[in-house]
Formats: sequence, structure tokens, C-alpha cells
Amino acid sequence: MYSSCSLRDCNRKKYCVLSLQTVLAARELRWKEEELLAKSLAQEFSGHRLAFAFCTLRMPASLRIYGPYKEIAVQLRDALAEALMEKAFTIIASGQKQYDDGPSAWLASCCDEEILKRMAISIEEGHVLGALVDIDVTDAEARLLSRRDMGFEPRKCLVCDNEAMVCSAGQCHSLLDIAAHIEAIISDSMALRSSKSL
Amino acid sequence: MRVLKSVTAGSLESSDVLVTITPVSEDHIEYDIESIVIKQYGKRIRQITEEMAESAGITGARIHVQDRGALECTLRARLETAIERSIVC
Repeated sequence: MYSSCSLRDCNRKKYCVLSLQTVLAARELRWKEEELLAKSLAQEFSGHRLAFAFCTLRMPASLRIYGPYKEIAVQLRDALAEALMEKAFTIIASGQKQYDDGPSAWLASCCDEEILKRMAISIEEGHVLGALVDIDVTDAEARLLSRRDMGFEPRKCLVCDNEAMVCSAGQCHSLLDIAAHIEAIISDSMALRSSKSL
Repeated sequence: MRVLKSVTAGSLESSDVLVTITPVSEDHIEYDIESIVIKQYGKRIRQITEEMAESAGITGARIHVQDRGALECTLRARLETAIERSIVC
């Protein structure tokens, strides 16, 4: 249950509605904390080339705080960590935090930031749940790397084939439509998991 | 009302916008708009930014808007916060 909801409301509605103020305050807090974290770890591990990955859910805020989705950010951060370790990159720290607008999971690696960004894009595009997360990558000074600057195509919308940012900025799809597509992605991932375990 | 200090409001997360206001020595306002959806919404973002700066009556400022696909209500809220922060001692 979200802190500002009554238990009765939570039992009645599947998804909570968050105020704009709550969402904006949480985003700004997370942004500032990520910047501080990157700078303090860079200072602590000076002499190493560090890069950071911050994983959040890619869906409207009222879905991000829905219980069953909370683990996805951690699950995909762990998938990225595994991919880094397979390539012998060291992970110096990792963590997770629940903000008022949803979960966040992060890791810091001794790795070139462009390599980390490419690996994050592979997870976003190749993992069965990748479409449901945003993995932001920064360098040791908390400068964000963008797909566009690195020559990658912008991400597609969860619902249609258009650019995600255009659909999101124009609020092109209803919450229920987005939720249905998310459920379909999760069902596919569960089906894949059970077929692997057979 | 002159802008007194450099401030930011917002973030560079997807669907958000980072507004940075810095004081300049001249009386006018300089606008610098960046957006990943500049083709679709660039004009609207500039129009809202100019309207809000003018209605707040601030002068001597550079307003840098880095939009990551924010909704109009988000842009307005971030601009309002940044303007408030820039004029408080």
C-alpha cells in the first residue's frame, strides 16, 4: 500500500494513482542521490575508471509501485551484473531502493561507460523483460550517456511501433492498454522460464 | 525581478525535464531548449517556457531546458520550481 492511500482504496483498486507532486519529488530525489553516489564512489575508487548503471521500471508511475512488478528492476540489474562478470569486469558496489514512485536498482563497475551502455542496451533489447526497464548509464562524474549520442535507435513504445518518447510525451495510450501489454510480456517471460525448467 | 542564483529543477530521467536557470549580467532572458522530441513538441516547449518566465516577471537569466519527453504538466511544474528557487536568497 502506498503511504497516502487508505487500505480500503487499495483493496478496491488494482493500481494506485500517484500525485504529480509525489512523482516529481521522487524523480528529483533519485537523480540527486544517483549523482552523489557516483561522485562519492568515484572519489573512493579514484584511479579506477568507473561507470554506473541505474535501473528503473519503464511504465507509468501508478504501475511502477504495483507490488508484483517491484522485483523486475533488481532482476534486470542482476542480469546486467552477470553479463559484466562474464566479461571479467569487476562490480565494486550495488544496491537498491524503493522510492515513492517505484523501485530503483544500481551497480557500479570498473568498466568503460560506453561498454556498460552497450551492455545495458543489450539487456533492454535482448532480455525477455528488457522492454520493462530503463537502464541509465553514467560516467564517474554522473554524466548520462544517451542512445542517440552513441548512434543507437530510440526505444520503441511498449504498445505500438512508434518512438516511446513520442507516445509517452503525447500520452497516446491508456493505462489499461499499457498494463495489458506489460502483463503479456510478463506472461511470455514466465512461459519461457517454465519451458527452460522442463 | 532579477534572478539571484544558479538553480536546477528536475532530472534527466526519461519522461522528465531538467530546467537550469543561471543569472546573466544583461536584463533580458536567454532561452536554450533541447528536447528528444523537438520535432514534435519543440515549439510548444519554447512557448510554455517563455510564457512562464514572462508571467513570473524574471529578468537577467539564461533558462536551459533539457527535455526527455516530459508531459506538459511536468514541464510547467519544473519551470515553476526552478523560477521560485532562482529568486529566493
